[in-house]
Amino acid sequence: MNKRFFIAIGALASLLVMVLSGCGGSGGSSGPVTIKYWYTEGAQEAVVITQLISKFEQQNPNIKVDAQLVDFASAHDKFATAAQNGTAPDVLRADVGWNTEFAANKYLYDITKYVSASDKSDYLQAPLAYATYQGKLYGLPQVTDFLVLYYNKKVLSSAGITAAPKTWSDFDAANKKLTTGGKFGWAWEGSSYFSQPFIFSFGGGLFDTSTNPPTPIINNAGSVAGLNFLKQELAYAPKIDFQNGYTNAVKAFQTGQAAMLMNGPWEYTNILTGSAFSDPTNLGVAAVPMDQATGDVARSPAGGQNYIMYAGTKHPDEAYKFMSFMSSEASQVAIANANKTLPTRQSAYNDSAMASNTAVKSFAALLPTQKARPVIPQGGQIYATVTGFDPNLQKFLTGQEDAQTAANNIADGFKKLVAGS
Amino acid sequence: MATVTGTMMPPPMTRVTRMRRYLRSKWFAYACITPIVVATAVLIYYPLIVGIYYSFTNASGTNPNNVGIPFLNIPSTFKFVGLKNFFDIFANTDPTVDVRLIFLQTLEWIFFNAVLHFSIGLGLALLLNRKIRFRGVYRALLIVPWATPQFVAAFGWRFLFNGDYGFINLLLERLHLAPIDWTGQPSAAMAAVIICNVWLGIPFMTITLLGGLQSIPNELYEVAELDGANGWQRFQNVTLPLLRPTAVLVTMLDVIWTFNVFAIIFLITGGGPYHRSDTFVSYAFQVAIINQKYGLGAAYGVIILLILVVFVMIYSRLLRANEQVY
Repeated sequence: MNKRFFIAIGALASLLVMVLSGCGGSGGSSGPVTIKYWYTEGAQEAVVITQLISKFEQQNPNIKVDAQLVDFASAHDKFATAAQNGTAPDVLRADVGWNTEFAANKYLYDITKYVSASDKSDYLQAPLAYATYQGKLYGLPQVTDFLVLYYNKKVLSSAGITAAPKTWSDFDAANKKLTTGGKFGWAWEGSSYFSQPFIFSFGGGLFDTSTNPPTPIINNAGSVAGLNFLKQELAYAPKIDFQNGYTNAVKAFQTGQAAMLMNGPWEYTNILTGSAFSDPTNLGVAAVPMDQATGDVARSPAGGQNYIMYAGTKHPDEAYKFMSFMSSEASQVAIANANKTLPTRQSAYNDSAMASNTAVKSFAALLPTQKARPVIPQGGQIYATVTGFDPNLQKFLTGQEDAQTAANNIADGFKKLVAGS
Repeated sequence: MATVTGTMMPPPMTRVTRMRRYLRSKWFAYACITPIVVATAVLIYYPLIVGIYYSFTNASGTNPNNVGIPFLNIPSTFKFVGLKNFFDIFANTDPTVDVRLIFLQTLEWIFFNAVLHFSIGLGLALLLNRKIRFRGVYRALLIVPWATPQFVAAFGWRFLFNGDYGFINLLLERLHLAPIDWTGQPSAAMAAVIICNVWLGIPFMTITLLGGLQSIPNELYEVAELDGANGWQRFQNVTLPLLRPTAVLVTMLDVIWTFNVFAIIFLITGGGPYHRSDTFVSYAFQVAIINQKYGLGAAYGVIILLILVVFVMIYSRLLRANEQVY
């Protein structure tokens, strides 16, 4: 009896442990408070983030930060799921497109009360707009970004091209010269997000947000012209691998296989690790080319990342303390100097520590080409498969559909998205 | 007054005492299975029932069921929609995807995997059933793909299939052959995921069939040989009929497992291009998790469950039929 009794007790105890550990009892009034934070930077970028976190922990011995690196590509879905079952982190670094969506779903903590007017006015207008929903503030902008034209200076000049292409016809001419002997003029990432510079620069767009609900304009004449031009220029790029397109394009540029690349500031430090840029001055940064007829319109999709706070957080004060530390002028400067990404505070650009940061200066000069993405609750889903954006783009690029048909299908998907059906 | 004589009858057992006695003798058994019963109830039956319930609702990312943040007092806004989700799937109403194609691709996926697993597995099993040198080494090596976690194998194959830098395409280029557009051509994408899953599934098939082969008594072959049967005839008339029970069972099991594979498709092609390498299982994930249409995704889940129930019924019937043979 005794032996069996103890076995049974043991079994029940192990069950209890199982159940309890699943629930994860947090809380506890005394002792340091733990803030869970998910960050989504790439490996190169993340170094400075972890440094800042330990600095924060030193300054605030009562707050521990349990920081987890979450793959950017899956962070949206992970947070959306976790927010509903109560296991989301207190703070997340979210893409600006997700901010409105999460706020509309009431997953986010309204931080309006924490942010003073003077502090608010220090942020750049466009990034702050992404963090605002129905007049309330749901995030603090961390970085702002947009696509630029990176180019390999040596390769371009040895092909007799003296300046980075200003217009798409310059780009086309450069591609013709550069694509020779197994080398390519440029490399393309092969996904919907990176088709936007083409769509925007020919006068197209995603949504007309002046109407309610927003009207898709992805199938207007400008968008279709952009898609057709994109396909034409792909003759001068390595073949697109839809599943590995992003890494392949960056790699082709890093190794000198391709001479030009459209990508964002976030990839700058990673590009410099490539063999073609062992001399960092070889990397050129220019604006996304423009269509001569359409002119110098805003044509580069504006993105960026915000710090957001989960509505279910148990420690909003501590979580905000952490957020405001991470987006303080000093932290923004540290991130900008380490990663060459663009700060969202005016004061950070004027900071003396930024004086020698030529990369950020060259990006900042191109800020006028930035075109804001639609700030709508469905913003995070525009590039997901639900709209058929990527699938139809793939059909168009592989010759299954012409540009107009593909664009019409994407517009249908957009209509369904904003209708919420 | 009549007197009661003789021995006293024991008092009739009440239900409670019977219960108590039963528990006294069996309590240990119940205590032992309690953890697993509770665990299955919490981990399997509760989600299953909730999932079936969701399949009749329009739950999605925009009308969330805020179960985790109830203290915020946000009411759930999703509604019961009856069979609408199932209707939408069978009527093929989504313009971004053709459900009929996904159904055909699911069949294609199961068919090619099952046939290739079986034929290659049987071939290897026949080879290993002979007395050859280093047989033990071959058998051990054969286990390696089986011991590899699915997602690790999938990532490995994804590198091999990379259009610009993958080993396979680089090899083809060296041989002056055209590289294959693994992620852009529907048939190539389907081939890619099938190749990976075939590689993963062969060991199980080989080992099981080898076991089946070894259980065939040697005397039968000797008798057949005495009767003048040649190698092919012995294979046809001795090996195949006696291997059949094992083969049918293992194939059915393989069909069930193959049907359920998600990681390989999701990681190698992501179901692309334009859903042409998706199966029901991989597509259901996209609907439910990526597109956040929980109701519709749950309806796909219920359909998958029903298909599996049919498979399992066939399987258990085969299992019973087999027991009668031995």
